[in-house]
Amino acid sequence: MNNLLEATPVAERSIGHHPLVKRIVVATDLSEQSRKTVAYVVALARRFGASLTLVHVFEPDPITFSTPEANEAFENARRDAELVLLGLFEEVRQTYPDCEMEFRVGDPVKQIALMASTLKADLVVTGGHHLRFLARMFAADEAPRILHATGCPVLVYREGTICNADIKTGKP
Amino acid sequence: MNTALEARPPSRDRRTKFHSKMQRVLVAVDLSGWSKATAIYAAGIARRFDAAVTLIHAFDPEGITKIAGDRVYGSLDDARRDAEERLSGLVEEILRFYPKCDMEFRIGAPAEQIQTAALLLKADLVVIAGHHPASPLRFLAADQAQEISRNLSCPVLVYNGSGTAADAARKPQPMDNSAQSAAS
Repeated sequence: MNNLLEATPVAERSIGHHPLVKRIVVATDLSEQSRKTVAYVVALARRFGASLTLVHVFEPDPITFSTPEANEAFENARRDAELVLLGLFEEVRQTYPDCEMEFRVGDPVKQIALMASTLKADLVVTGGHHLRFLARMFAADEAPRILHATGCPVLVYREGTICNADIKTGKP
Repeated sequence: MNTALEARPPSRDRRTKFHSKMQRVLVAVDLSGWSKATAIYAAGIARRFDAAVTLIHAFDPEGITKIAGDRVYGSLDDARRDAEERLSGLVEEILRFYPKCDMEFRIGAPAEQIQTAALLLKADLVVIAGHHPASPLRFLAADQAQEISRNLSCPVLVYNGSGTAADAARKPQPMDNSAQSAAS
């Protein structure tokens, strides 16, 4: 018929009994909404028996010049974020032990892509509320580069954004 | 990232229940060479949840008239029929591996049609083909993925490979020009 029917052996293997997803990287901004994303991913990971890596990338505000006060504020904010990630990690690990955490500083998209590549992730998950990350990820000029860098599927978790939509037309 | 500082430390009563259900996976295909890999990947996900898979293709008459490509159709009806047959063929392919698969053929703007179908079918996950990183259609795919996912109420998965290095390095299959007319 056409090239649809051409063999795609790697993908076909994935439909069998082999694990389709062995390692999941979860990009979290540590907000309250991100807890739902993590909960969803834990359920997903459990189904596949996949390892989970919670990643938070602390993105420093651009600083034009450095002062001791600015450095101290940065360090405090960084430390606070790391503690929140640690709390989330401990909470998840009680329910799903095959879990790791990674705290990074820098550009979220670049760092997540790097993590996914380094860990050979099979899936990257982020929340639909993680707007800055999503805006960058789906930006027309950057998406191919980022998707190429991650080299794996990207799942955006959303919940109830159009729950009040017209059921007949599907429009909000 | 400052939201991190607003979060309170975890406590037992705030714990989120770790459960989810998945009963239907909607797979948006543009009938390009990457569609089959996307559909198979989605079926693999669905199998883990014993969920139904619906392959959806939105035939966009406006797109067909704008981009003819090297496939010239005598009429829009021929193009529509051809697209429907190819979607049916893809469903047959998937049924060989996973029996809970059906199709939804729609006419109209892909993003709108996929959003409507996701709502009507109560999809728990929408899978979109992201195209191979080496594909010339990757920019279009990213743009459409953004448009499709914007108003969806369920998780969206952009498939761009199995995640293995071998797959990422694999050359994309030849693209069918009619892919530019339709979904994802």
